Amino acid sequence: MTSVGIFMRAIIILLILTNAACSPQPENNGFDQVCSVFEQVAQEAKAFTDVRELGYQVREIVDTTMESDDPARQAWYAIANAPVGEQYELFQLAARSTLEQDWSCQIMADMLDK
Amino acid sequence: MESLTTRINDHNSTIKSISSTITSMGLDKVGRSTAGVFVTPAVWALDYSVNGNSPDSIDWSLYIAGLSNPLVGFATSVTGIFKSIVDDDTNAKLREIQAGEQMPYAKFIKACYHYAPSPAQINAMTIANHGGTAWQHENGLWVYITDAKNRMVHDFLPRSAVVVYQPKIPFERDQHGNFLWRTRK
Repeated sequence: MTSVGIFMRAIIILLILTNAACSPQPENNGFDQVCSVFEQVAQEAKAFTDVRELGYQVREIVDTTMESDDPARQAWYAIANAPVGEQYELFQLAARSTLEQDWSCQIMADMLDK
Repeated sequence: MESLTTRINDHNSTIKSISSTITSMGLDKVGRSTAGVFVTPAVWALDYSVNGNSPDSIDWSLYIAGLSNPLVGFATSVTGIFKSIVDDDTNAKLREIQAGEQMPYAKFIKACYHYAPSPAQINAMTIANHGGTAWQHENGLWVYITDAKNRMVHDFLPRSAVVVYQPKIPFERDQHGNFLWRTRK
């Protein structure tokens, strides 16, 4: 095998290893944390008439519990100001673009899309 | 690094041509032990000479990792090679978008990848939240536009877009000073 061939094989193996090491883990990701915040808020207040007010309450918890550079936190900051009725879908898109897999949160869908 | 992983996936078809690209760049001739030190700056130099781009934060972090740890060096140099190819693909798509827009505005269109470390789509939402216009072109690239002083442009109407995120008119701001925004397909 030529040195170029060996080099290319090493690159492919290293890329796979690097990619696997850097891939976001499905457990305990920031998007699930935001989902948990919704569960927490839902338990504390049974009904919200103002979705924007709900968004601000979620943000207060997210501010204190999540790292500032977490993509889920950044996504929630932005999506809280998106059109009511589209927020859950946008957050799902943000989750999919980050996690590279399907993501859902029923309590969030119920509270945002009413 | 999540953003880089996403970028590599976004540009998968381009990555598939990596063999020829590495060969054409002469990197197959670079010694392994020194690759971590030399490859990424060479990529920067190439990027700078062709596109006028300076290293961004990801470049710097890769370069520093490569300098400080020989074992990491090779892996980071590989990542640097892939990043450079993704950057090339991003730049090619950006040029395509700029070519399709009116000249006074075209040169101020930028890739959302470079706005912040989050994935481009989240950056696009953040840009709208900050009062700017971001959109996904039909070629898949998320972009945004500023004025000559790097300020956000709230009312730009791209000629070609799959979806546009921009502030709602009339403006409404939240308690943090950010803008309510809308989506347009």
